[in-house]
Amino acid sequence: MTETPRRFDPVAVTEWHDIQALAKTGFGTLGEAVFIVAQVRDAAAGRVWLATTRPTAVADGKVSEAIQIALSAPGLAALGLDGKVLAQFGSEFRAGMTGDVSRSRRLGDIGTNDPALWRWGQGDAAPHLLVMLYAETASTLAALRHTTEMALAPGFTVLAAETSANFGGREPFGFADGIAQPIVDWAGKRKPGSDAAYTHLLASGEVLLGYPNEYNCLTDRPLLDAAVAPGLPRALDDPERADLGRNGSYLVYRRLAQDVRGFWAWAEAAAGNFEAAVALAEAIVGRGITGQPVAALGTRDIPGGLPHDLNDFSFVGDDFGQIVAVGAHIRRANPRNADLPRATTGWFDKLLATLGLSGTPLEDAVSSTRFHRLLRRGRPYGTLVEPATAATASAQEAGLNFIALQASLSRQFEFVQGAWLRNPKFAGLSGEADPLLGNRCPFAGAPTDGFTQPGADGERERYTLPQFVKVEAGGYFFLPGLRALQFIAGG
Amino acid sequence: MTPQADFCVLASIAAGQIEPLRAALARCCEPLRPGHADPAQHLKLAQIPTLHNIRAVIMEDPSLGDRAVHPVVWPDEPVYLAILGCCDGPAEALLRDLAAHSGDWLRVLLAYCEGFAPDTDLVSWLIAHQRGSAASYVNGPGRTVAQVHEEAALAALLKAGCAGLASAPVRARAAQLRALVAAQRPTLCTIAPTPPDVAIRTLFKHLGVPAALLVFVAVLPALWWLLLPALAIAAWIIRHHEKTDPLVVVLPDPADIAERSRYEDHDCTNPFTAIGSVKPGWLRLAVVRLVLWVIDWGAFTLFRSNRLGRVGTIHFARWVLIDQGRRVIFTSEYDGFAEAYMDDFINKVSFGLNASFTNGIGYPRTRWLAFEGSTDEQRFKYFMRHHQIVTQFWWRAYPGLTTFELARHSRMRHGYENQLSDVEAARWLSECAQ
Repeated sequence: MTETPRRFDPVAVTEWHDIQALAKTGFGTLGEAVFIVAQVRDAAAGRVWLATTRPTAVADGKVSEAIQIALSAPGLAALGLDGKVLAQFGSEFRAGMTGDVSRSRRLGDIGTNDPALWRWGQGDAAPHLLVMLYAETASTLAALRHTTEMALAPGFTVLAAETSANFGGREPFGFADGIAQPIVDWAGKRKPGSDAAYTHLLASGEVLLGYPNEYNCLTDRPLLDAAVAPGLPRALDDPERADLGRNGSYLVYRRLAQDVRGFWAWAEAAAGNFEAAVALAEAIVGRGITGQPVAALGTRDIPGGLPHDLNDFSFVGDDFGQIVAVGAHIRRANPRNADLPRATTGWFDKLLATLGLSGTPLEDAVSSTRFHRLLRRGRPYGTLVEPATAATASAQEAGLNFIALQASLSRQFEFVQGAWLRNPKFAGLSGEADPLLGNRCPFAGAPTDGFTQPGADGERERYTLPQFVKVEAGGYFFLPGLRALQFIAGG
Repeated sequence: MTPQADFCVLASIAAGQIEPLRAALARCCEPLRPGHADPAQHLKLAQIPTLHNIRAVIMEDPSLGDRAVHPVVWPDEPVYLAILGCCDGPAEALLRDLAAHSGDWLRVLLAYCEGFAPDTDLVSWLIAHQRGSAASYVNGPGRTVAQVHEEAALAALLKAGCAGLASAPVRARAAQLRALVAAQRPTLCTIAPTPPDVAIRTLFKHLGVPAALLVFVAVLPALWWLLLPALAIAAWIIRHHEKTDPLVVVLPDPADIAERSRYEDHDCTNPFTAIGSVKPGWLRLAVVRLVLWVIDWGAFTLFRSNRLGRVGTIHFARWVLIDQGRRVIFTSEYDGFAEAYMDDFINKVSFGLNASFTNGIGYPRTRWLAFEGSTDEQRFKYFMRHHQIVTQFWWRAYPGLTTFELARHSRMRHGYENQLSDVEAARWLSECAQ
C-alpha cells in the first residue's frame, strides 16, 4: 500500500464559489442579523430546503443580504448522512459542546453556565441547524427572516431566533470589539513555522478544512469514495477521494449574556469614581475602551498588520504583566507569543532556547499562539447603555452572539477557552480566571475570582470579581462548502 | 539535598480478577472525582512524610493488538497492576513506610494478583516486585514533600501579610513583611545535607559522561574506524525502518474519549499513564535503551530547574521498560489539561518525544529519530490517546499546586530568608502578593 503524503506546502485558496462568505467576511456592511436555530422534523423536507437554499458564497462579493448555513452532528445524522461519513468528523464536533460533564468542566460551563440551564443546547433542545441571516436594514432582515422561516417550516422546528444589534463595533460593556483577528493567508504565501515572532498571519487550513494548517498538515475530515460523491471536490492529500470537509469550517456559537450594569457598578465601587472605573475596566480588558493598545507596550511591526493599526503590539518585555496584567482578557485570549519565548540571535542561541537551556520556565509558560487562533464572527445583541450611566441606569438585556470559525474545535476553541480563558493557573497565575468571562466557580477547592495587577515597587492591586458573563445557549456546528451542502442535501 | 526516587511495583493480575480489581480501585476513589483517591479513606498516605504521589493502575494494554503489524512471534504478556509513584529518599524505604502505613490497603489490592497470599510478607514482596525506571524526571530535584508543605504555609502567611504593609521604600516594606511573618514563627526546616553516596553519584553523572566522551574521542581514534562504519550501517538500517515500518492509526472514539475525560481535570494536575510495545529487533531495543539513558542523564544534569526541555508543567515523569524490553510504561503528572499537554509535547519537546516514542509500534513517521513524528499533530494525538490508560487511582501530597506555584513558593522563601536588592525586593513583594 502506498502511503499518502502527510505534509504540504501552503496552497492558495481559489474556490471562492464553494466557500460560505462568513469565512472571508463578517458582513460588516450588513448591519442587521438574526441567528435561527432549528431541529430537523422531516428529513426529506429538510433536505429539499437544503437543496434549494444557496448560501452566500465568497465569490458573490458585496451583497445586500446574506444567508449562511451550518449543521450540528445530530443535525447531519437527522438529515440522513451516513454514519460512517459522520464518524470521520472531529470527535469534539460529534460529541457536541454539551451533554458531557467532563467537557463542560473543561470549558467552564458549570455553576450558572451549566448547559442544563441553557435555553437551547442539549437534550431535547440540542440544535441541528443554524441559519445565519444578514441584511442592511431591520425591515429587509424581517422580510428575509419571514421567508426563511416559511421555507424552513416543512422540514424544521425552530428552537430559537437569536437577535443581534449593531453597536458600531462596540460590545455591550462599551469596549471596541473584534480588533485582533488573524489575517488568513488565503494566497498561501507564508510557510507556517518560518516566523520567529508573533504574526497575525494564519494558515488557511486553520480556518478551512482541506488546506494545510499551521503544522503543514491537513486536519482530518470525511473523505469519501469519489464515485459516491462525484460533485464533491477531491482531497488534496488523497486525490482519489472526495473531500466533504474541503472549504468548510467548524463553527462555535455561544450566546453570552453580559451583566453590563453589574460590570460598571462593580468597577465604580472598586475604583471609587467613574474615571477610575474606566481605567480599571481597561486594565481588566488590557486595552483602552476605544481599542487603543496600552501605550507603554510600544509598537512593533506585526506581519500581516497595517502600520499603526490597533494591533501593532505584543507583550514581549512585559513578562510580569506590569504594563498589561498577565491575566487581562486580551492576554488570555491571544497571548501574542511566538514558537520560542525569546528572539534568538545565531544558531547556538536558538539551540539553547529550543532545548530549554536558556531563559526561565515562567517566560515559556504559554503555548505558541499560532496554533490556537479563532476567526471571530460574533455580533452583540440587546441594548447598548453608555458606560457613564450603566451603573445607575436600569438593567438592559445585552450580550454577545459569540461565533468563531476554525478547523479544529479541540485545538482552537476548546484550547483557548479551557487552557487560557478559564484556567485559574494560566501562565503561572493562581486563583484568577478570565476577568470578563470567568464563571467564578472555585476550582479544586480554590477561588478563581481574583484579578491582580503588579504595579511599581512591588505593589500589587488585588480585586475580587463577581460574574459578569453568563452562557445561555450554544453548540458546535459545521459550516460546509456549497458542494458539500448539496451532497448532504442529497441524503 | 534529599534526592527523589521512583518506585514501580508490578504484579500480574490473577485470571478473572481484572474486573473485581477495577471495582476495588473505584471504591478507593471519590465518587464525583473518578480516579482521585478518597481522602477520607487514605488519610494514612498523608502520614508518609516522603510520599509525593502514588497511583494504582490496571495496565490493560489497549495497543497490544497492534503487534500484529510486525509479523514476528510475540509472547503473551500479563496484565499488571502497577503501583507506582515518587518519593523522597530511596524507593525501598518508601515501600517499607507504605507497607507500615497502608499495608491493609495494599493487601486488598494485591489479593487480586498472582503469587500474593494473606500470609505473604508484604515488604519483601513489594521490594521483589519493584522495577527501576529506565529514565526519570523530577521538576524540583531535592524539593521534599515536607518542604512543599512548609513553603506553601509560608507563602500563605506572606500573602496575607502583604495586605497590611505601611507604605515605605521597597526594602523597608520587605523587611516589614519579613518581621510580620517571622513573628508567626513559620516552620522552615533547613535543607538536609546531600547523602555522601548521592553526592558522589551526582558528581559522576555530571562529569562521567563528558569525560568518557573525551576519552573516546581523544584516546581511541583507532576504534573510530571500526565504529564509524558500524554506526553508519546502524543509521542506514534505522532510516530504512523509519521509512517502511507499518503505521497504526486508530481514530479516537468519542465514547472512549468521554470515558477517559471523566477522570481528568478535577485538579490543576492530571496523571498520565501510557503503555506500548517496542518495535521488534535488538537494534530498536538498543536505540530505546540509549535514548532513555540520554533522557535520564539530561533530566538529571541539564534540566534541574523546573522544566524538562522547554516543558515546565511536568511534576514527575518516568519511563519503565518491562517484559524484557518488549514494552515501555510512561507515566507523568502534568499541570493543565490533556490537549495542552499534547501541545507542549508537539511544540516544545518534539525531538525528545520522537526519540523516545518512535521506537514504539505505530508511531507517526519520524526522520532520523528526532524530526517530524509528533508534528503530524493529529496522528500523534491519536497515538497518545490510543496508548493512554485510565489512571484508576491517584493520590498526591499537595493537590491544587502547579509547578509554577511550587517554584514561586520557593522563591518566596528565598526572599524571606535572604537580603534582597531593591529590584529583587520589588519582585519578591509582588510575588508574595500574587
